[in-house]
Amino acid sequence: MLSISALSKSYPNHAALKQIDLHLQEGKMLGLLGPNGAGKTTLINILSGLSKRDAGTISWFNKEIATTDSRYKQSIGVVPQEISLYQDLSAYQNLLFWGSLYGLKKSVSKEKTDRILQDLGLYDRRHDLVKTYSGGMKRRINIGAALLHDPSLIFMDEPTVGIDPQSRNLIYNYIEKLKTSGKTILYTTHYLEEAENLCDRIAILDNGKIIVQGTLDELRTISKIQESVEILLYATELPVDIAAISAEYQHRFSFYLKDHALTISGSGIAEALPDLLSTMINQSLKIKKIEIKKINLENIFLQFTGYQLRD
Amino acid sequence: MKIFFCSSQATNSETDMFKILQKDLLLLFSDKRALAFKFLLPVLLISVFVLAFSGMRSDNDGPGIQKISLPVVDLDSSETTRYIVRQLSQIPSFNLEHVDSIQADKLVRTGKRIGVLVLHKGFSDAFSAQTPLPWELVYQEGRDMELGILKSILLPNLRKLNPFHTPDGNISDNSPANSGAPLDLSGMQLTFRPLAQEPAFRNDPWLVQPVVGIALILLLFNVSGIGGSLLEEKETGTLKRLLQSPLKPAGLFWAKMLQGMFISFIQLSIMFLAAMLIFGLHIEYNIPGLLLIMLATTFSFSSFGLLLAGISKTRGQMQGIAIAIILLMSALGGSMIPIFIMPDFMQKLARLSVNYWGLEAFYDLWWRQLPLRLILPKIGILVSIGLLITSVAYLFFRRFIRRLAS
Repeated sequence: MLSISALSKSYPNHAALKQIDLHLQEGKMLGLLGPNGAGKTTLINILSGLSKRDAGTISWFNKEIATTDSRYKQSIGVVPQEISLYQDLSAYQNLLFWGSLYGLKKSVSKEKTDRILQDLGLYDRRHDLVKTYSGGMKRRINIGAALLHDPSLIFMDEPTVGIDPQSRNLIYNYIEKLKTSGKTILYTTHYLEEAENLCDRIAILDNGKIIVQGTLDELRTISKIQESVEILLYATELPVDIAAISAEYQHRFSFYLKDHALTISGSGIAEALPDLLSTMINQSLKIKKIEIKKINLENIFLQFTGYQLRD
Repeated sequence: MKIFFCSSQATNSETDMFKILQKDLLLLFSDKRALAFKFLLPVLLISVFVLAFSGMRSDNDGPGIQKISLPVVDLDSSETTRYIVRQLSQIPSFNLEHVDSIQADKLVRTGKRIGVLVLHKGFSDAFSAQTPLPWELVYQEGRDMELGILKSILLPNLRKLNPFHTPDGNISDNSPANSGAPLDLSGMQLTFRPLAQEPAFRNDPWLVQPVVGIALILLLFNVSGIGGSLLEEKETGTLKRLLQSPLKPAGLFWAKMLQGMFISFIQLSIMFLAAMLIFGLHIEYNIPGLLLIMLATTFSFSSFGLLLAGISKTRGQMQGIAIAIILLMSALGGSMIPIFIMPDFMQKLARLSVNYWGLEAFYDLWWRQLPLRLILPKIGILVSIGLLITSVAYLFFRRFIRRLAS
C-alpha cells in the first residue's frame, strides 16, 4: 500500500533519517519501535506532508506520490504525539471541526462524531470542554479527531504516552477495532509490549536507521535469540567483571548489566547457566534471583541495538 | 503572638530569592528581540512624543518648528497687496503659497490647509482711503484649535507690518524720514469667515479625533491578537495538525486574515455606533464611503497582525513587539497626538504609519465630508499598505511554516 524507499532527512546538525526502506501492507499494522530521537516523528511528519524529505521516494499503491497531494492527505489520518486539540472547545466541537477540514457533510460528520465518541467512551462528556478532561481522555479525543474522515491509512505517533491504564486499554481496544475494519496503521512507540501485542510487523528504528523489520517470529529468527535469563545480584561494592563472566560465551550470548541485574540473551543459555553462575560465585557475587525470560521484543531490541529501549 | 526570626532560614530565603532573580534574568536575557523592544520602546516613545509636541513649544526655533502653510489669493494684484504678501512671507512660521481662488477652495475644503488668506479686489483703494480693508481668512469650520494657532502667529505679525503711506497713495518700505506718515493700523482688521459647507450635520474634529484615534489603536491590539492566535496554534500543536490536513498553508493564512478583518469590522462598528449614540457622532453621512474605509482599514490592519505573527517566535515575544509597534505607530500616526500640532517633518513622517491613513480617511468622511471620489485615494493607499504588508507577512508566514515543519 505505502512503500518508502531510501528516504533521508537531515537537519543542520544531524541526520534524522538515513536511507529508510519500509513497506506498509494494506490492512496491516506496522510498529515502528525506537528510542526518543530515533527519527520516528520525523518519518511521520514526512509521510503526512508536513516536512519535506531530502531524498528517497514514497509510493502509494505502487505510484510515486507527493505527500502534499490533497487526495493522499484525504486518505490519511494522523494522530500526533502531542494533544493537538482546541482546549476551549468541547470534544464534540473539536471532532466536528477536524472532520469539516476533510469535506465531511455536517450530517455525516455528526453521525461519525457520535459513533467515535461512543467507541472511545466519551459520549457522556461530549459537550464538556477539552481542557476539563483528564490526560487519558484528551489522548482518546486526540485519536478520534484523526479518524472522523475514515482514512484508510493511519499514522499514530506514540498515542499512549503518559496515560492511565484504563485509557490505555480503551485505546488498545479501539486500535484492535480499527485493525479489524481493515485499516492500515503505522504505529510508533517506545513501549515494547504495545508493539509486540498490537502490531503485525515491527521495524526497529535507531539513530535514523531501520535496523531490522519483520514479524515478531521473523525478528526472533533473525536475531537468533532463543532464550534469555536475568540474574539479579545482591548489592555489592565489588565491581561486576562482565568480561570474566562472558569470556567463554561472548560469541554465543549477549550480556547486559544494569544496576544489579545481568541479562544474558542467546541460544543454549540453559546448558551454559551452571558454568556462568559458578564464574559469578567465584567473583564473590551473591545471587538474589534467577529469572528465565520468554523471548520478547525487549531481548530482540537489545540484541540489535546493544541497549535496552527503556534506557 | 510572638514572631520568631530564624537567621539561618532568612539566609536560605535570601539565597533562594537571588536564585529566583538569577533565573528570571536568565529567562529575560534569553530573548534578545523582546529585550531590545523592552528597553528601546520607552526611549523611542519619548522621542516620538517630544518631537511631536516640539511644534507647540514657544522657544522652538530649530528644525522642529511647525511651519504653517498659508495659501494666499491676491485678487487685487496691486503694489500694496504685493507688499503685504512680501512682508508676510518673511514671517518664519509661515510657508506662504500663491494660489488662485479655485485651488484655495480645494485646499481648504479637502483639509489640506487650515485656511486661505484672500486679498480682494479694491484692497489698495481701501488702503489709500483708510476704509476697512477687503481681506479675509477663509477657514475650514471645525478646525478651531488649528485656527487658534494660525491666529496666534498671524495677527501679531500683521500688527508688526508697519507700512508707510507714500504721497501717491501707495505704501513704502522706507523709513518715516524718507516718506509719508505711518498708516493707521486699526483699518487693517482681518475678517475670519468659515468656508460654506453643504451638509447640515458636521462632526466636531474634537469628537472625530478621539473616536477614530482610539478605535484605530484598539484595532491594532485586536489584530495583534489574531497574530497571537496563530502562534497559539503553533504552541498547542494544532497548527501542525492543520497542516497535515488537506488544508493548504495559503488557506490557513487567508482564514486568519478574514478572521482579523471580520472581528475588526465588528469592533469598529460597535465603537462607531456607541460614539453615535453616546456622543452624537454623525456616522450616517456617506454610508458606502464608511463601509469602504472600514473594509480598507480592517484589511491593512489585519495584515499587520499577521506580519507580527510571522516575525515573532513566541506569543510572549509577539506581545512585546506588538505593544512597541502599536504605541509607536499610534503616536506617530496621529491616534494619540493630533497631526496638526506636530512639526512639519513629523507630519511627513506620520505618513509611514497606517494609523495616519486610517485617521485621514475618517477625517475626510466625517469632518471634511468630502465626496467618495475625493476619499478614494486615501482608501487606495490603505489598501496598498494592506497589500504590501500582506505580501511581506505571507513571506514570513511561509518561513514560519517551514520552521515548524523542520
